[in-house]
Amino acid sequence: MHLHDLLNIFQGVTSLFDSSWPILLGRITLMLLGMVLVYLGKKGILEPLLMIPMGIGMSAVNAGVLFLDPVTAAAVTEAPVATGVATHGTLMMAPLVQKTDNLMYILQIDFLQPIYTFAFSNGLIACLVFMGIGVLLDVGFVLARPFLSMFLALCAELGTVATFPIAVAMGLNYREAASIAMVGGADGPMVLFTSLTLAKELFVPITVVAYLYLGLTYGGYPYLIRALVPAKLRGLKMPPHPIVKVTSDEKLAFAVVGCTVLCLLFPSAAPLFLSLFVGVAVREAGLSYFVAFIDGPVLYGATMFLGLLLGVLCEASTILNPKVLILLVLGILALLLSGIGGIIGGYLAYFFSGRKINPVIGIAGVSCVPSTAKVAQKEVSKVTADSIILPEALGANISGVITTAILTGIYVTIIPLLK
Amino acid sequence: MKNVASNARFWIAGTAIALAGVVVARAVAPLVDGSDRIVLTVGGQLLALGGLFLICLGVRRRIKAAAKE
Repeated sequence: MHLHDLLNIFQGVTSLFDSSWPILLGRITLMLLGMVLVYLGKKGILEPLLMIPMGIGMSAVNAGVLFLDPVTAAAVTEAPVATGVATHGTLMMAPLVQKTDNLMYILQIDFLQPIYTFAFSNGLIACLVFMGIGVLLDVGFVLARPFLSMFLALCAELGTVATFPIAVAMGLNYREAASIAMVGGADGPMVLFTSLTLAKELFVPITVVAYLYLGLTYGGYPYLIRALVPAKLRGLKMPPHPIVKVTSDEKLAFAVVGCTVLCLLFPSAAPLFLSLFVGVAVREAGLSYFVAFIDGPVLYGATMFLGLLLGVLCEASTILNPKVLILLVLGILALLLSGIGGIIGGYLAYFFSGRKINPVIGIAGVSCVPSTAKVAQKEVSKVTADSIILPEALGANISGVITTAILTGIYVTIIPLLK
Repeated sequence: MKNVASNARFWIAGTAIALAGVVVARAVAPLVDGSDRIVLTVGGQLLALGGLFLICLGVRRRIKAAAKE
């Protein structure tokens, strides 16, 4: 037995040292980052439902690189491979394959390729997550307080709007700039949908950056609230509200009218609107079997495979792009600006209401449902235990989802028209 | 649908305004060139969203009236 045979048995290690330095370092870093994500997910610092499958996928895909046989290598690279040339790849997924013949071949080789091709790259998985969000949403909060909810949600889109020109100034084209600006909307499925529609060549790093940062909102926004709102204002009690509720008939009728109007207005984002409002409609129509199905297997199944696929997409040779550093800066900037915009909105509501509205609810306009609403309530409760702002915060939160979906529609409709 | 029917003015007006906004943004704006096209598109979109907002206001009004009773 020669050393060469031994190295062939442990191809994960051999391929590591056969790579160029940037890829070698990238693979080792991403393996370690994957482990850190699993740890932070388990500790509850980051969202465990997403981070645990994503982290383990990230570690495994960077560890499991092997030398592909010439036929598979030719299908993956979509070019003839000379004899004796070692091509690196995995048996998990080949996201860059486009030709039908090659795709049909890879579908029979890579175990996650069917899910990637038939559910991820066409945006289905984002729509399934959105359907699940729709089932969890109570649009009654928006209907009961439309002015406040919509105003806060609009203010909290500051990052989504302001990051676009900044990204263009930093050298991204309009399509890439719009995709990374959507991180400010703090809605993962919409970032995925926008980047798949507008910047397919950068959708992997943009989506990974988006989901990593969205995991951080739960940990980072409390510090932003404490920095921008003094304790005296954080503890402000909201005025009492009438106990009359919005009926499910009204919510259902609003879902139907809203979905139809928004689909007529922004057909490019119609899959997202349909997914969101079908969830709302199923909930309000009282279809309990459908609610249990969408709320359980659909939402959790989609989230699990979304996390796993995002992790597996983080293979060093796919994700190492010169633009990743710019995306990292712009992503955090977008989320920070949206948070600041939301709190500015909260302050404006506070002053215009005659100092009755707690400014902290502004942060809930950032549409990370229901994380930002829960963060707002938690921060208020720390100062005044019996101050309840959750209904208003949820109204702003749900409006945030709707305004982010509208901005998605505006970007995917208008950006292709810009030259 | 009792509450929707009792508040029909807002629902009908809101839906009609929203659809009028859609017509302006999607049917009228493409017929025009230059900056007028952008103005009509954005104006139509705002009108459509305003229609949906009017429905929300109608529901809010009903809740306030019911709370007084």
